[in-house]
Amino acid sequence: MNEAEMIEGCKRGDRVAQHKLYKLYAGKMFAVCFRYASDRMDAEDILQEGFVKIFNGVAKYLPIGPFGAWVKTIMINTAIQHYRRNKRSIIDSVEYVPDNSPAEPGIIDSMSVAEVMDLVKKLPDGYKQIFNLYAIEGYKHYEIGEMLGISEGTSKSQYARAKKSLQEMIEPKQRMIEQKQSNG
Amino acid sequence: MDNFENSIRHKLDDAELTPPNDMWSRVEAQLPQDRKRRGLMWMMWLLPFCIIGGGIVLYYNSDDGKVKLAQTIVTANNINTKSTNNGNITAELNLNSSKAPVSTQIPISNMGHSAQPFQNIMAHNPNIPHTSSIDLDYLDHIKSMMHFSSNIKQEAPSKLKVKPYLVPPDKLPNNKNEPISNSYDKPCRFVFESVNNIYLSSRVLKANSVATTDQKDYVKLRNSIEYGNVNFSGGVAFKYCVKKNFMVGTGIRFTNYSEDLIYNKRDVTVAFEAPPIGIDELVKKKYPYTFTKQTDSIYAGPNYYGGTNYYFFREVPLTFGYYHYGEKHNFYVEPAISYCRISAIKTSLLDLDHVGFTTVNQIDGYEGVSHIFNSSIRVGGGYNFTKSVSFNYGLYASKAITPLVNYGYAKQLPYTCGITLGIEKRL
Repeated sequence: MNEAEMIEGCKRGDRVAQHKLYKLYAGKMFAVCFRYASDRMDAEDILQEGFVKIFNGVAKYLPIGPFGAWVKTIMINTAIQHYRRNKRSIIDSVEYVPDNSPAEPGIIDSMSVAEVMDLVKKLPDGYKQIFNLYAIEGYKHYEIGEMLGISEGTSKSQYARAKKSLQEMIEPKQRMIEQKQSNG
Repeated sequence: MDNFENSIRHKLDDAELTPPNDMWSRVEAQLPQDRKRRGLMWMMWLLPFCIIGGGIVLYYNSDDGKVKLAQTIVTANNINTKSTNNGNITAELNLNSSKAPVSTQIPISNMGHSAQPFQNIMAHNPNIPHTSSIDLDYLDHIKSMMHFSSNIKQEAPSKLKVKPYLVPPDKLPNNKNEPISNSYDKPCRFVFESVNNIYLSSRVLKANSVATTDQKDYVKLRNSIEYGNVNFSGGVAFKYCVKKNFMVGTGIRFTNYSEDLIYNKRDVTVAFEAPPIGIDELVKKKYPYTFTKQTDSIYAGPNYYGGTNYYFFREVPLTFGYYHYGEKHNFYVEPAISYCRISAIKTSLLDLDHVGFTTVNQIDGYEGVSHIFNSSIRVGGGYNFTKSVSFNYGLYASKAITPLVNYGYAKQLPYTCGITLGIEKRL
């Protein structure tokens, strides 16, 4: 069964097709949910809710864009909704945060996927949403503002803080590598 | 975006994590059962029929002194009834055309409750001869209303629930009834211009729309808005100056928005509706086309997020149509085009778009005012039970064009179809 057949099956409410589609996307989508969630249980809730929405709404899917992108969009929106439902508001601030000298990109390349994910996970929730949306999903700040109900300026300043936090977390590791290189 | 972001994106974009083993069963448990959903849809469509049916039953069960008939069960398709001098009624039943008539004599004194309606017919209708065969138009009416069992004595007393009443010919409306067009839901109404009326209608609508936005690299879908609408409105229209009437009404509106693909938003609104208040004029459908005055209506009600939705509609319709006015039956076909301006205010304690208490001008997620150009067709009619009571029905279908601008572009092409049923009592 290819993807198009799975989608058609899902539109008919065919359980087998739904299960196959779930298996196809569950791994990737769980990683997406995990990035946005505050913990693993949260990520599981988002994944569950997201898939229910996908199967309930698949009849409305029109094959204009890639199906995977559609699935991911729903997961991201579910994650944001989940975050907003359960949490806290992002402090509306346009305070300028200086962008420190960026960490050496090579350090990221030398890290495993789990390590990088762990870094992002360590960000405070508000920062994490904005960092994920901007740096990984590629949304613009004004779009993030609309999605999260904050101003574009707030999105920018929170992103700068998130980036700074990440760089601070990477710094010891970077220093260690540099030390090794100078010793070697 | 610099290399730092690119490196992280590269690492995480295609990352995979193994979900828990029981995740599929958790998802599956939340998926709808098709049969259940279909059942609910049918219930939604059946609701107005039940309400109207219930209303009719209640109405005819009321003890208002009108001439009533007992209902009995039947297999007969022909009946001749005679009233005899000794107070008995003779009923001849032709069970089938192929069978011989069965003649039964029933003493009125032995008929129990079932005799009362016949006595009422005679008491209230001087045109009915008491001593000869009942061979009037009434009989056809009686036959159409009554269902006789071959065992009248046993069945009749227990079947006194639905009691349509007869109208003497001189009480039937003798002028042509004229529907008015100021009803919010445009059923075919048969209101005498100078007569006050109460109108109870029920409407079910289903509207779908698909909007697309070119918001990012690929086209996003903002899809779709659905709502089922069950509306009960009562109205009083009365003349306070020449050709001026007004109608007030309240109703309950259930609106369910589903915008699953972008915001995963469900917006449930239960609202009171106010059809045109004090501004409308009865426009009699004497001409094949009518450019009616604008109509204003308001919907207001609580929403899912603890706030309130207000929608303001202003519609300027141009209708064309064929109208047939009969004494008993009325019928119309009415194509129309209209322009409708909708503005809305939503307040919410917790909205998906705005955390905290907010007041936003919003139409289905878009800010601003919505302009709708609508083409529609209504088909309907009515049946006058009496001069003062009508049952009206109507079917409605429309296709609208709603140009909207949001992000890159967005357009909606909603279609709507619905059914309206109503019972009207003219005062």
